[in-house]
Amino acid sequence: MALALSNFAQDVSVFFIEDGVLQLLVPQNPTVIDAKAYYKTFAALEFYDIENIYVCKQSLLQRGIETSQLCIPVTLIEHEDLSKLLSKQQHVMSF
Amino acid sequence: MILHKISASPFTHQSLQHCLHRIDEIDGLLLTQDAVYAVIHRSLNSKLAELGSVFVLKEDAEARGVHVKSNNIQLISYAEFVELSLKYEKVMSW
Repeated sequence: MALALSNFAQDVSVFFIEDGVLQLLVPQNPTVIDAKAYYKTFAALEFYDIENIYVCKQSLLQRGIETSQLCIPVTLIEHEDLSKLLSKQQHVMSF
Repeated sequence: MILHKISASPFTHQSLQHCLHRIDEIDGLLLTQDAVYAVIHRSLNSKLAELGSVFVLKEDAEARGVHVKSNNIQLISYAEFVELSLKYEKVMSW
C-alpha cells in the first residue's frame, strides 16, 4: 500500500508500533508456515522515496529488540512523539 | 490434565496471562502462532520457566525469528502437537 501510494507522488510515512515492530525482526523464515516473506519488501521502501520510517522505541524495549536486529534502517520515536507525527498526516491507514 | 493452547501475542492480548493465573501443575502449555513471542517477553519468560511442561510450535517460532533458549521449553513439530493433544485429556484454546 505504501509503495502504491508513493507512485502517486504522495509523501508517505510508515509507523511501526506495538507488535508491528516484530514485522521488522530478522532473521525470519515465514516460508515454513507457508506465509509470504514480505519483510523483504521493506527494503524497497527507500527506492520508492519513502524515507520516513518510524519505529516506537518503547515497543522495541518492551520486546527486548535492538535496532541492529531490524531488517532496515529506521527512525526511533518516543511514545509521545507518535501522536504529534500522526496529527501532521493528512490521512492515516492502519494495518 | 489439560493442554492449554495459546495463539495470540502476549504483548497485545491477555490470554496467556489469564491462562497462567489458572493453569494447574499437571497441565501443559502450548504456544502457537503469535503466542510464541512470549519467549521474548521479559516478565512472562520467567513465569514460563517455573512451569513443568511448556511447548512451542517449532515452525511458528522459526517463521517469526524467535529463538528458544530456555531449557524447560520444548520445541515441537505439528506431528508432536497431534500426539500431545491425544496425551492430554483435553485441549483448551484460549
